[in-house]
Amino acid sequence: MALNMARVWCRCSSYCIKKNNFPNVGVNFLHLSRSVAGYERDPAPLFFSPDVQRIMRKMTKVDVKKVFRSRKLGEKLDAPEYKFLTSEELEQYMKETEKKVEERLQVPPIVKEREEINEVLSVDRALTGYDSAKFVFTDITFGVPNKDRIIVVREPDGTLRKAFWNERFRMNQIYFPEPDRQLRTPHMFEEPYLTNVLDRGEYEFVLDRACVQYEPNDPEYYRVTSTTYDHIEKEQMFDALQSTRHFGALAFYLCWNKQIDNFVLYYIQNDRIEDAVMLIQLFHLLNPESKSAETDSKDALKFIQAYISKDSSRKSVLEIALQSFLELQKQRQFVEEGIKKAHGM
Amino acid sequence: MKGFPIRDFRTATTVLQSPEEVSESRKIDPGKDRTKIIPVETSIQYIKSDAYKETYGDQQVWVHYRRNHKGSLPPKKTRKTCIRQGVIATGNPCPICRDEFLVLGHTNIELLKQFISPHTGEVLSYSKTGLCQKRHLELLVAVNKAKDYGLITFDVPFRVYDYSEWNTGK
Repeated sequence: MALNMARVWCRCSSYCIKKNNFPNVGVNFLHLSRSVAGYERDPAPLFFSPDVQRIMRKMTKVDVKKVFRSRKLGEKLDAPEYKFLTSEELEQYMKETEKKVEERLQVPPIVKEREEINEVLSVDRALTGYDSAKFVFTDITFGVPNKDRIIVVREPDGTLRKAFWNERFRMNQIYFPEPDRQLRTPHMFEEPYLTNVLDRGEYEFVLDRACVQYEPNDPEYYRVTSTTYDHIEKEQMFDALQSTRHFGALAFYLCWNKQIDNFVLYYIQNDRIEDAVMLIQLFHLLNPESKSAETDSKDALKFIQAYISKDSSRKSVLEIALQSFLELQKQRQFVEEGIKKAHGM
Repeated sequence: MKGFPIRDFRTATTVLQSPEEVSESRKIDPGKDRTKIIPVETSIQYIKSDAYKETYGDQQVWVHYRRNHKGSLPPKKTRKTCIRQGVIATGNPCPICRDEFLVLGHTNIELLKQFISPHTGEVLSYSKTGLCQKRHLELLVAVNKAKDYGLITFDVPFRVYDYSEWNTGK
């Protein structure tokens, strides 16, 4: 009996999977190219290395009011609690607070995008035409992590295959729902609504919601986060994510893609030389083959100058900014010395 | 006044009222006429206008509304709807139904925010706002849609990652 050479298009995140019917071999799945480029080399080993984690944490300044701001999650509100403490008890509380700050500032993992699942378990042609719908079988054993759950799909033509990532997501969300995660991707993550939200400056909101909605290795997660970071870099709103968990990820992304010129310029213009030094150190860690990687970071200004002359693409602007900073420093020193002399020191 | 005509129900064709009397009795009081549907964009403009400012000031639209009921405790649910067949069917319509230019749509964020608690981020109950059930449901749908499109910002639970899960291989 001749097989139908029907072409079936099924949606799979932002990809289209084309099903080719090869009469004797079975079913092959073609994977068309991605719409958004991801990470070429794997960022995970560098991301989880202690040096990178330390720099990202150090660059994220801690504003306790912003880190522990009241989040409106529909929970019952309690009246604020006031306590009288001895200095030892206060120290104890401060240590516990520091621990909590570390938890709050955990950077979302940056990993390579996952590959689409293309595994066929068996082909049973005897089942062709049994039903016009696909059957999805999910193993709902309690205690199994969602990523290890067995989810398989029986196609109407008898193929038993492992479920695609979007089918896995749907099934896991139906049987073991994550709070505030939507079954259907919110419109907010699609254009033009994403641009609308970013133009309003709601960067933390988009990134927090993306963390809840997607897994870190989802290509959609990469698309949303990279769009957000590019928008921040373009608008130069680098302090919008300060004291949040996403600042480290922003710095990592920009250093990885060698787009830190605006960032360094912003720091120099705001007299934040130590931050600029840390940023360039992160850049060297993520791009060890860069030309200025060998420079010693003890002399901050020479370190920044080395980066500007060897690795930056906006040399002139950065050099002018650095020069004006140096002049400003000299003037400040001059004024200070004048004041000291006036006070007779 | 016309006397009742004597008619045999098997054969007569006379009506009790003349056509003019019928249309006059069917006239809707313009204050209670809600047959004309106002688009959401007009509502958005209305909220920015002086007329709105004069009517409501800086407060939410439901603040000065008071339900009428017997006894000290109000019924647990507000009425099903204030408007039936395009006409206001009650003497004390709810805050949204009484003002025809207040339209609950997902783009009308200024209006929707008035019904969201500033402390917990939840949509306020109809027992607080006084909205009829139909409008309350409309409000829930509009707020949900606005959050879906990212027009309303809200807080999401903090997601804790297990680094060991992402650090190896995959």
